[in-house]
Amino acid sequence: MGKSVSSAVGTLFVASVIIYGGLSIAPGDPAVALAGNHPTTQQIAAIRHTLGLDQSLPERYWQWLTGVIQGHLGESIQFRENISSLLAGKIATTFLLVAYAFVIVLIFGIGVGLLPSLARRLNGIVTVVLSVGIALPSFIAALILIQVVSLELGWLPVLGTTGGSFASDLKNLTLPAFALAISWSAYVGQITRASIHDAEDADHVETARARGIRPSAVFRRHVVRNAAVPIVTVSALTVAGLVTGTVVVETVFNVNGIGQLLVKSVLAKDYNVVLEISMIFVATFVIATTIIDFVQVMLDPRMKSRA
Amino acid sequence: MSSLAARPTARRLRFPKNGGLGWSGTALVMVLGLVVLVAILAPLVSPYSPTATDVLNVSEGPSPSHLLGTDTLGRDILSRLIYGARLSLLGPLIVVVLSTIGGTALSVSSVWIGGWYSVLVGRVLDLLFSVPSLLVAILAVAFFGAGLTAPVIALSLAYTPYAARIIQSVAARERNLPYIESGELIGFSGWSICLKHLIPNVMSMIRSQATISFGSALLDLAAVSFLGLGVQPPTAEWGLMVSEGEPALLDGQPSAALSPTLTILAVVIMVNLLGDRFDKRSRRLR
Repeated sequence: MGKSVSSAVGTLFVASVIIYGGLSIAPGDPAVALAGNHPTTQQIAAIRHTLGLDQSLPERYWQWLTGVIQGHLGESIQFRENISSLLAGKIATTFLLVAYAFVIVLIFGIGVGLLPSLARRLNGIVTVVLSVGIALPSFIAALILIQVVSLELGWLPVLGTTGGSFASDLKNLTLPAFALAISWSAYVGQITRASIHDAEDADHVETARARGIRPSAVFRRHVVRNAAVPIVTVSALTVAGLVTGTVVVETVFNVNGIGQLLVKSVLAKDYNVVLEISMIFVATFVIATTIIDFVQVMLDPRMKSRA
Repeated sequence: MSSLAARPTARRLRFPKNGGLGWSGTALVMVLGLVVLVAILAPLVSPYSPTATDVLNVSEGPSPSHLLGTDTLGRDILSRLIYGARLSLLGPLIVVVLSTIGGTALSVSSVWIGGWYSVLVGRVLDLLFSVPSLLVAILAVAFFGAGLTAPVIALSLAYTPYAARIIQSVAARERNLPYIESGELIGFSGWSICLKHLIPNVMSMIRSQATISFGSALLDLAAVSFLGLGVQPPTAEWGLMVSEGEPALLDGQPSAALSPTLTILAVVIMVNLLGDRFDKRSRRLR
């Protein structure tokens, strides 16, 4: 247990060094960008000093790291605002969007993946649905959903405006969540179908059937338990993919979350914000994989000896 | 070994004529080949210039003179699709070539050398895994500025661990087979065994992996352009065309956005199906 946590922290640390270092040596001086038109050298130097840019790179990194650990995320250059307060509301919005999409992924992904084993006839159509779904990236799914659900049917709004009541937020985030979830649902669906198929083919399942155990009991006790590990693993990894996917979906639907903020900050060369949102994304992935390690051992104790 | 006793004759080893892809696989190759051909011959086959504006026919639906209609600037959508195929296909192609070469080099060398080197490679791959590919592309844009080059280089890096993981598992199995040991006993150099024997034997796996990556790379690059971080206007590129067409879509003129959307979708589905075919075939061969 301690080992996977320490390796997670290690990964986060190395990733932060690389991203911080990379962004710091990126061309373009934020001080010049901030100083406005025709700045004097003194003005630029003064701004560099306030931003701490006159210090060496390791010094700046250390200050950033100790700051983040204490909860000081620094200032956004583009909005001249404290990043903590800038991010607070947006993280909540993105969290709601990702959670919504994750529920969709679980219901549709696992549901569709289970269909072929419940009704063999559906195998062909499930194959088609899943291979189209996998090829549907969020920005394409978004446009098709906007065209069909918003413009032709008029059921849901085009914009993912949030900040109203919880019910209206959910309603406005429905299209973005589906756009985000479709290709991941198809992915989880494929893994589910393949794992269930493999588990059903196992010798012990045949033995259980031959012993005359009820099919539902065989399915529950022998098939599902064996197929659970890959399904849970992939579902958990989906969360990390969904969080990154918000970059695209929030931009299309104009959802006021951290994904859209990342794109804006990249275009505005607001590197502090880029850095911190990137770290949130990497952290989600690292946390998801660490949790997977624990859950795998819980579901299949044999994993313990392997790890 | 029993496998030596049951060795098939050279005649039986020969592949079926169409590469064992079956008629549907052959059809996929032909249709995708046609798309590539159209992209290469764009100046000859496209009815208009991709950047020529027709101010009298702005945001028009499909008509005999503009088969797919025109966009908000009056540019012919079909011509932009045809020209856009060039960058939209070239980008993922470079990503796949670079990441496949990188992934093969890393995985085969780590299988061959082993020891601390393979531990190091494993750690680096783990680290690369933990940064999502789209995020790597966006960070590269933050670093190098918007354009096609930065996301292509970034995605090549981001796809390397996926290629490496899959090739590594096959290469590791291959490494323990007797023919590799025989090569070593004869005194062939490691380079020569890897390049002439090991890599050719895992080639079918490499190819199916590369084909499937092509589809994801196309989608990732299109997403980057869609966000305005990749190819810049007025260049024709499918992802960019989707975002340029979005306002017209909201105004009830869907062709500008839906044409590139459906093109991307069709190409990716075909590429993925072809990848599945290659994958099934490479499994059948082992």
